[in-house]
Amino acid sequence: MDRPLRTLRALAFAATLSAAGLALAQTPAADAPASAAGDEVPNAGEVVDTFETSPDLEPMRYRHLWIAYSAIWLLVFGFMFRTYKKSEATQAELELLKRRLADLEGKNGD
Amino acid sequence: MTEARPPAPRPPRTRAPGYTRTVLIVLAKDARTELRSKQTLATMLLFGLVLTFVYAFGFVSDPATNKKVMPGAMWGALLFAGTLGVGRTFAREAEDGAFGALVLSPAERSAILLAKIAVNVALSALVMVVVVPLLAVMLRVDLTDCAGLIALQLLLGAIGFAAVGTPLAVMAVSARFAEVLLPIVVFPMVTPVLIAGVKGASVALGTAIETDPWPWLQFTAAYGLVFGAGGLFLFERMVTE
Amino acid sequence: MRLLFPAATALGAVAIGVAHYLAFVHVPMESTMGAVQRIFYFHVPSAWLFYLGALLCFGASLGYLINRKARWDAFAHASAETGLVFGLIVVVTGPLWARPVWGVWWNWEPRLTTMSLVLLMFAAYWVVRAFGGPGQGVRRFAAVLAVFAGPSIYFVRVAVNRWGGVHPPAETASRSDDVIKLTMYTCFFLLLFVFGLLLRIRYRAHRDALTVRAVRRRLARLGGI
Repeated sequence: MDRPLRTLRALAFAATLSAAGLALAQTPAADAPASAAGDEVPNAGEVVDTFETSPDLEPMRYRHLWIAYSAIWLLVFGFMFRTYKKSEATQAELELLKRRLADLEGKNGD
Repeated sequence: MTEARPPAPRPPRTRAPGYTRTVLIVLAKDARTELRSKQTLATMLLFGLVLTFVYAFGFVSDPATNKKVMPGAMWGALLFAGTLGVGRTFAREAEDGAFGALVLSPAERSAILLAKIAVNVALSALVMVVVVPLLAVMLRVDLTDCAGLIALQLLLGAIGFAAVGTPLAVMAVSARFAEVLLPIVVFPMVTPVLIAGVKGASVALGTAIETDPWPWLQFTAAYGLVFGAGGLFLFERMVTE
Repeated sequence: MRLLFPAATALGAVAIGVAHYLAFVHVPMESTMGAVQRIFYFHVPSAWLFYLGALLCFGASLGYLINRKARWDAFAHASAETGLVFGLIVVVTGPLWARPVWGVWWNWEPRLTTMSLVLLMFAAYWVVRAFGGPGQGVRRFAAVLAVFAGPSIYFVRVAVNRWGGVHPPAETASRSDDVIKLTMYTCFFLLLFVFGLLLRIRYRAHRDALTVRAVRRRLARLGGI
């Protein structure tokens, strides 16, 4: 494969991409009226501020949220800790292997 | 004393065939082997038929509902049967140990990929020619008014699907559980094709609110173009040795 | 040097603590949504970080396909994993917010759909890395996957937007006042620190595994072991 052909192909690639992008941009993305999918999507038209919260549930949710988040972060840090431990083991193994390699190479070299 | 040896005979100079010729050669080779063995086509067709029964038993209902179910059934069949075909793209070469030879040959690799994409599109198209009318009969949906439009949509969709699926299938060969991994990997990526196809088909069947099928067609075409170009461009880098 | 990472991790834990304090104590109750709105302070930054992980994975994979340096691939792998962790946070917290506010756990709303599809793509990437086996072929496969995911995400966005055609609830975030915004950004940077830590440790693990394999190969060639 020679360079000019490669460059040419890269150019063609870029041109195709941008042409496709243009073609996409030209289709009126908003031509589907907001109600288009309304019958298929439940709660589609619902705007966020029409919901109702019951005040007596608030504190409970609050606490649940706290617990959920703590659990998530515990998991994340647990994952990190596990990787760290494994990584330490790998490092130790690497040291060992490298020492053995150095021994072998020293022997072969003499 | 060594006498002057006669110059070794030069190996015959092999020139790589041109790009178009490479595509045609690989295409012809695959067409010939497929016509002889009919392995992939037969399995795909049978799978498509089985799928129509699954859909028929699962979804057949009153005519209005059937009409709404039809696009999803068609496109589901295309994706599932297509995955089967795409997964077998290089199967014969792999079985005969000819994959390395094909890649090592001086032919340009992207030409090989292009030919393979064409093969997969042709296989999907053949399967859909049988499966779609059958689905129409089973779900009792009248497709005569929009047959051309739906055929065009399916063809563009098959191109988009093959453009994504073929290179990934080639790459998947070296992984363990390749045949399981392939659908997991391909389906999320071809969701745009599925969405566009189902939407476009429901426009064609008159069950959607929009009436213009062209934006979705254009979208599917753009998808196929971008992934086709990207795959062909990257293929040289994907496969080595 | 050996204590650097544990120290940084401790700092990360403190950062998470601070973020909790900011999100649950410091910030005043949002008027329309109440307590559930506090999910935003973790949910939105996590979504950004997920996309950041995906972006890093895309870039590193493209680089790997071009220069064939295994370290780039290790980095792509690590960033996909890190991104996935944050993507999981988004997916878990999203429904928690949607249930009281929308009344449903799930809604085929464009943003949600896009997010879930991208998450599926990277989950597939992870599955390939985890179960596909080692070896160059699989690494290249994964790299191609990540590179293809790039334009695919764009198409998914466009398709899903046109498919759903509903107003995204992004307004709820943009409508908020300064304290809320400031807290959100602060939380983002705190989480970014944790993101960096996770990326660092995962990258180191993958890179070391590569080195171990290389050293093993050399040993085997020299007749050791």
